[in-house]
Formats: sequence, structure tokens, C-alpha cells
Amino acid sequence: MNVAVCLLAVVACASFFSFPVQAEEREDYESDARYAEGQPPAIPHPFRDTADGKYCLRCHGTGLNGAPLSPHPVRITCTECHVKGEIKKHTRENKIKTKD
Amino acid sequence: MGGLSRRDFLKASAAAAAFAAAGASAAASLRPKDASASEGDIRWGKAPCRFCGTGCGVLIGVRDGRIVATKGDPQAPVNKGLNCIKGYFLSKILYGTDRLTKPLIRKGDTMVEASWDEAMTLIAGKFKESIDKHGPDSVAMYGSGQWTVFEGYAASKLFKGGIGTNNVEPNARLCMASSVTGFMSTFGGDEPMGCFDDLDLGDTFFLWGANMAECHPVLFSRMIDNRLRNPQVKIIDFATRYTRTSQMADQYVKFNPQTDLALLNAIAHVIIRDKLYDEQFIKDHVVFKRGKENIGYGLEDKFKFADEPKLIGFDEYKAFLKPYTPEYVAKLSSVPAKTIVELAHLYADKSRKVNSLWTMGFNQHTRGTWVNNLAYNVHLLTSKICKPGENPMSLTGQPSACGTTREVGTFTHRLPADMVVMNPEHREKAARIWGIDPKKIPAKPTYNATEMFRALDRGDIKVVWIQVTNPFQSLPNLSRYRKGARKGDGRFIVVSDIYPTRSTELADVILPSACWIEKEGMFGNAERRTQHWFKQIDPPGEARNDLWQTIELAKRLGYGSLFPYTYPEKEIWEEYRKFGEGQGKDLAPYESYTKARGLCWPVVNGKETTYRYVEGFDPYVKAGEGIKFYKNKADHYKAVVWARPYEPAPEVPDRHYPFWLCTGRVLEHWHTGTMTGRVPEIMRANPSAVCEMHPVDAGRLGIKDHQKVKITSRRGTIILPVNLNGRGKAEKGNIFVAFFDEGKLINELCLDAYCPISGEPDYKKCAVKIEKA
Repeated sequence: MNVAVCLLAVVACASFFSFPVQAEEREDYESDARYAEGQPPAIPHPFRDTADGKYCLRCHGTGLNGAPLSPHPVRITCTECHVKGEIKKHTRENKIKTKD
Repeated sequence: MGGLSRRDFLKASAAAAAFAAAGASAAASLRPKDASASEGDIRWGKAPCRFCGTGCGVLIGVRDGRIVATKGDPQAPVNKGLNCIKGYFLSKILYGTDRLTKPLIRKGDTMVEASWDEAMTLIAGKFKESIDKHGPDSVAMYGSGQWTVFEGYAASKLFKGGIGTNNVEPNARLCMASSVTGFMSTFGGDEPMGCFDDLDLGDTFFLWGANMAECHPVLFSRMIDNRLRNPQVKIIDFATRYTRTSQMADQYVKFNPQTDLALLNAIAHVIIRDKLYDEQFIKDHVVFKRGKENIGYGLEDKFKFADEPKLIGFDEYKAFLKPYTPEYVAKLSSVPAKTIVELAHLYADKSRKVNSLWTMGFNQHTRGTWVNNLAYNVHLLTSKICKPGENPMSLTGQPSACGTTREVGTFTHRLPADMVVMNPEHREKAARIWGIDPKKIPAKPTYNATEMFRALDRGDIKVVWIQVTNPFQSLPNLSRYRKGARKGDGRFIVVSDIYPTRSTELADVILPSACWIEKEGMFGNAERRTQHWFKQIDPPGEARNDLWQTIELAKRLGYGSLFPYTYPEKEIWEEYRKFGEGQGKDLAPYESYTKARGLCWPVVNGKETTYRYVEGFDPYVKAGEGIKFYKNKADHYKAVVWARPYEPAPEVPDRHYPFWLCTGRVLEHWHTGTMTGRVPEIMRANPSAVCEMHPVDAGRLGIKDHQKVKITSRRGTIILPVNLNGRGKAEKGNIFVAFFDEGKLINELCLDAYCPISGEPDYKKCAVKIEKA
């Protein structure tokens, strides 16, 4: 798994640094799809939509409460992609207050 | 120019890479499910997203004739791998259980399945009958900024060049028309000079009436990414409502509805007063004009308006601005005078790269053209224009509002490539390309969108065909037009769509359409980027391409010779691009688009143009010319700074109707929700419309959060639950309701006043009262 991840990252970086701003692009959609993001997981718990990522990253940036780590903590507009899903469990309320 | 272009080009590349890099870590996050999916028996193809005018690139995975996955396209320069919620659910928009799959014909109160031949015979018969009895202006086509380029082109050619009526209008009249008239009156040519790279390169962003975080999320992310890299970046949100965008902005500037006109004039006032303008730029590239004032609101049927622009001097312009002191405008707008002065200085700061971005707050405005003009004024006075990283940019709401309705010209007055039916040379050129007698194209425009449905209500239009849009949910003052549609007396309504909507319920014939990658298509986005996709799956049942539908009508009306194509998409494209050649609207041959992730026009010698009117980027500007507004020949290739005054809205809150009502969109849903309403995940996240209200107003009226209220305007009533502390927060004296909910037709309350120049209605301002329900 780790090897695959590294490989993907290398492929991704290589193509990003040679990113053509104004050029004919290649047509290998399958290989593009391989390193493209898929559908972001829905949010299975109640949350506060703070629009600055702070509420979400408190756990998803640290692994607190067993939360899956965000692979892209620099993206802070979380609910732009992650839709509120079926509520399966209630997360523990954060002890640390986030500023709204 | 200096060394700007090369350096900025390199910076643009770096910024693009950086933006992508943020998503690169995401590549490592590929969940096992996706990883295997991308290796299985899935065939991958590309398309622009079906939704908004951003035009994000999407990769689509198809297995056994069905979409099984979509992903943000990492190679797409627009979104560089990212999508928003709507884009991520593209795979589900086509598979709602109530998809229309057979033509339906009204028999009394029920709709009965019919064959295509029956349906088309009936439709053609009704068209012929109406044309014979009442003339060509009794039939109409109401289309869409979601039309593919080919569909729009075929509709325009059939109606203007075949039937001989200018009764062609798109729903883009409801969202982009003021942007068009703004560009045309200021620069002599439609669409922006800049491109989305400005979001990576700029450091100062003024947002006006644009909730980008919800309505253009991917572009908003580009801007936020820019801010993460560059601490200099400042985002200023001018708005009448505190949104998710306001929350993320560095400064939120709340103003009273309609006073954006005064604010922009006050900013210009300070720029002149404090000598912050670029004198040389003004001398070289700007003329000043003043048009008619007290121009009305289009509230009366058959309203007509023609501006009478007069050239004025810089001194006259200064005199015009004199009353717009920060103190006077502070009273009008509720923005403190100090803030106005500070922001005027920020606009003019020579060390900053300044952009203005706007959407429906400007365009859906009874002075929409003026407020577009006024935004350009500030950029022209300070020469913050035509440079990488600093430009004014009007953001588009529909995927091909630019590519189809604006560029193909599917408005009553327009022809392809910025030409108009009023101009005999333009008609001549169109007739030559279409192979028809120039006399066939009528010289007079007929109805803008609102007027078209007024004409249907009056009975002046008898037969209307509606494609790819939902007017009986989206028009303002909706009750009048819904009733008008079912008045009988020879009225006949055809609706092509993919699902039952509030418009299909009023139709006499419903035609099942193919959608998005069920057909071949091209869209043009807000940065002049034309994007192509191939058909990748079959439409369900008997659903068919709208292009086929229009050509089928043409054949049955005897205009088949206008469409002698064997590969209609490609041949239409090659015919259509003759209009723009040599006009600064050059498009590439068809094949170029099938490969590229879109190309920004003008495309000359295979090269796209990211920045227009500027040497080094735009092939139409010769060496040594620097900047040239070459589309504005009438003003010697200069842009126009307009003296446009503040004038009040037609309906303002009073004792009886004390609140402003503003309508708009939400992140999850797109427009009237025909597609997003079929995605269970999206419906779960945002199932129905609410009334956003300020807690203080609610407290005064004894209304608690989530309690139902009755909202009433002079035109209608609606009952909705109140939301006091949601994602969007209304300011005192204002409420906001989204228009996606087909069960709650908020547009019944809206006033059908429009900008006299653009004909675009104002959905953002009317007066309502609120009571406990």
C-alpha cells in the first residue's frame, strides 16, 4: 500500500511540475483517473460548518477520537466537497471551543 | 508591458502547480475502492461539468453503458483535479427514477405516451397553423445557457434564418444579460479580458454580490489557496447578506440593497479627489460618456428603451461624481465613510494586483448594466485591467451561458460573434454563412425573456418551445406567467427536459431529452474557454438529443435544407466558427477541442488567448501597442468610463411590506434543482428552502428558529420555516430564500422589474412582510 501511495505521489508530482498552462494535453484519461480524487466521503456525524476547517480539522487533522486523517488539511472549505450524510454515530463534542 | 508578461507567465505556471499540489496529497488518499475502479473494465472519458459556468474538467468512468464514477480532472486547467459537491455527484444526476423516456402528449388533464413521430407531427402542425394564422412572431423558442453550442446554433438558425422571427431567447437573459450589455457598452465586445489565473496571481479581491464560496466553490478555492500561499492576499466581500463567503473574507462590507451604484461612484469620487488615478492610461485608453437617466424599470408590458450616450470630458465626469462624497454615500449605503475612503485607496494601491468579481448581485439588478459599467470605471481609472492578476471578472452561472447564448447569440437581438439583427451588414454576413436571403432575418428584435412570457400571457405568442430550462419555476412574478401558459385560446407549449419539472406540468407536449454525456457537446465557460466532450453513453428509453429535436422540427417545417449535415456537431462547428474569424472571436477547428482541456478564444494559429486586449498575450494587439480595446472601433479603440448615477429600486420596503426579499442559490443545489434534486445525498443535505432572517427581526416579531412564517409580497404568499443561524445570515430588515425548491415557488413573490438596457430581471430586491404562520 505504502509503495503504491509513494508511486502515485511521484507520478502526481512529476506531472504537476510539468503542468502545461497552454499546450496540447495528452489523452490518457485512464491514467489521469488513476491519480484523480474520487468522490469525497460523506460526513456521518453532526458537525459545525465553520467554513474555516477548524472544527473539522480538530479531529481530522490530528486523528483525535479515532477520526480518519484528512489527506489534504490545506483545504479548509470542507463542506464544499463533503456533503452531510446519514448520521451513523455522534462524535464527542470538542472540549476546545472553536471560534465561529 | 515591460517585463510583466514573461514573469507573470512563469508565476502563473507556478501558481497552477501549487494549486494542483494541494490536491496532490489527495492523490495519496485514493481509497482502495477507487483505485481498483480505475483499473477495472471502466472506460474513461472527459467532459466539462454539467453545472455552472466555472466549467470544471471531469473524468467520467463508464461501465456497461452506465456512469459508474466521476472524478475531478487533474489535467483540467480550470479546477486542476478539484470538484465541488455538485460535481462529485455528477454520476447520479442522470439516474433519477422519474427520468423522462417517452414523448408525452396532453389529453385533457393527463399526459399520454406517444411516438416521436406523433409528437413531432403535432408540434410541427401547431407551428405551421400559428405561423399561417398569426405570422412568424407568434411562435418562439425559449432556450438555455445549458444548451450545447450546437443546440443553440441550430435554434437560432432555424428561427432567425428559417421561420423568420427573432423570437429566440435564452434563460441566460435572467442571469447574464447585464454582464453582456456591461461589456458591450464599456469595451465594445462581450466577455472578460482576464481569465481564472487571476485568482492565483492577484492579491486583492473585491467581491460584489457574489457568494462565491457556495456558487463558484472551485474558483473560491483557487482564491483561498492563493491566500494560503501569499499572506498579502486580501478578500473584501461587499454584500447585503453575511454568507459563507463573508465568513472567509478578510473584510465584510455590508451595504443596503441597490446602493452598490452609489458606493462605486463614491470609490471613483475618492480616486479622483485624492488623485489616485492613472492619468496616462486614461489619456491613452479611455473616453467618458453619459447616457439617459431615470430610465424606468420595465414593469409595463411592451416596455421599450434605447440609451442615448453622449461623449463628455474628464471634467464633466468629475463634476458628475462630485455629489458622491463618502459622507453622502455612507448615509445611503450604511458603509462608514472611512471604510469607503480606505477601500478606494486599496482599489488604487499601485503595489497591489486588484480584481473585482461579481455574479447575480450585479447582474440581476434593475440597473444591472450601470453597475457593471461602474465596476469597470474603477478598474479603468486606476489602470487595474488587462494585466495578469488584475482584472474585473463577471462570473457566469450556467455552463454555456457564454459559449452558447452569448457567443452564438441566442438572444432576440443577437447573431453569432457579437453581431446584432439591427445592423444590415451583420444580417448580410449571417445570411451569407447560412446561405439564405438576408431579408429573411427580421431587422427588429422582439421580446426579452420576461416580455416573451408576457406576450404568451397576452396571447401574442401562441406556440413556445422550451428547451433545457425551467421557466415556470425560474421567472419572476411567476404566478402571472404560470397562469398565462394555461389560458388556452390556441396557446401550445412544448417542453424538452430530462425529468418532470414545474414547467413540464404546464406543457402540451413533453419531449424526453438526452443530457450531458448522453450526447456530443461543447460548452463555453466564464473565462472564454470552449470545451468539448464526446457522447459516452446512450440516453435512456427513447430520449433524444435536443439538437436532433430542433432539426426534426426544421425538416417538418420545410427548412431541412438549412441543416444538410451528416455529422451535425462537427459541421455546425465549422460553419459557426466562420462568424468569429478575424473578429477577435476566432475559434479552432473541431479536432483541436476533442483533444484539449478547453481553449480560451481567440484561438489564432492554434494558440489560445488567456489575456485579451494586451500585447504579448493577444495576437490582435501588435508590438508597441501595449493595450488596445480593439473591439471598440466606434470610440477609437478606447474603453468607456460611464457617468451612471445612483437610482433607487422600483419597490422598496415600506410600512406595509417592511422587509427586503433576496433570492439566490445554495452550495448543494443547482438552479431549480431538476438534476441535484435527484441525488439522494444532496437532498439529504439540503432538502428544502428556508427563510433566512436576522434574529433581532425574528425576536421583534416573536418568531423562533425553525418556526413557520408566512411571507407575502404584493404578488404572492409562501409559507417557510425560518432559519436564524444557518450557513447564510440575513442582515436586519432583509430575508433570503433560495429558489431551488420546486415545492416552494419563491419567485411568485418576486417583482418582474428589469434593467431597461439588458432586460435582465432583479431577483434580489422586492418588498415583503412576514407573519407567524
